[in-house]
Amino acid sequence: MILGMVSMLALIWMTPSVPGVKVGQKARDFQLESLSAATQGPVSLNQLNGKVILLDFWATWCEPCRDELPELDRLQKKYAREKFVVLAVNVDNQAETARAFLEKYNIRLLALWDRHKTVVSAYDVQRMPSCYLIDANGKVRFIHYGFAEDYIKAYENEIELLLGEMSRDRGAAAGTPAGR
Amino acid sequence: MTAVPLPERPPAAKIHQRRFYILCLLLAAALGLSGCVAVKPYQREYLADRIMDFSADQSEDGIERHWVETREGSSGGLGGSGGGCACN
Repeated sequence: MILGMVSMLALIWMTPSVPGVKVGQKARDFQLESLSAATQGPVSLNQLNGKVILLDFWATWCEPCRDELPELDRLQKKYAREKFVVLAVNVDNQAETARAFLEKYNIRLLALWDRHKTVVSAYDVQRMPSCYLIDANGKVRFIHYGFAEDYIKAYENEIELLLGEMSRDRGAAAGTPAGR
Repeated sequence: MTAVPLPERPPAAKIHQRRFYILCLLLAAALGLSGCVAVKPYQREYLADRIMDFSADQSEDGIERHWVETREGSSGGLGGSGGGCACN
């Protein structure tokens, strides 16, 4: 019985170490259901290969997330002609809450619902919101925690850098000068 | 040669009682520790609810604190800085 107790204590203390995803690492693939009726079926990260992705983890109960989301919507519209997509992964307990929020603020992002919080825990998100910028090769290049107004300028600079790299790579592969 | 008397062993019932207390203590510790979990930022939906806040409106709370301190001449009495002149 004492052995049982000791192993129980050991289990309590031994919290599983979640590696998470760090800058320079390959973004972990996932498949989640969409919150918007326009998108049919689940959406996976690999499905968006070859695009610059802004992966954002948000929730309706998180105040900075509520400030950030309309800005991300604006970014998506700004770069609509580019190979760029914002993936807004919601972690609310109820999908309806998230849908109502998106509807109310007329946010037309590709929003997904992490029902069991498996993706957010796989990425080991340390703050809400957390934003991962993924390049066209599927590598995480920048991570931002939280949100402040001046983050948007940083996002724009980084998106443009990654889009520039992508077009340079494509140009080099095709043997033509770089250009978007 | 004199025989050294062996120390008297506690009765079996007493040993069992002691073991029982130790086990109870360990069980209580295990149960207590199992309540210590780190809540991840994405698991704070219920904690972020307004009902979990001590004050319903923090800005209103600040204003109320200010006029209570002014009325009572006790600026800083609730933890803020000041010398009681109620001028801050």
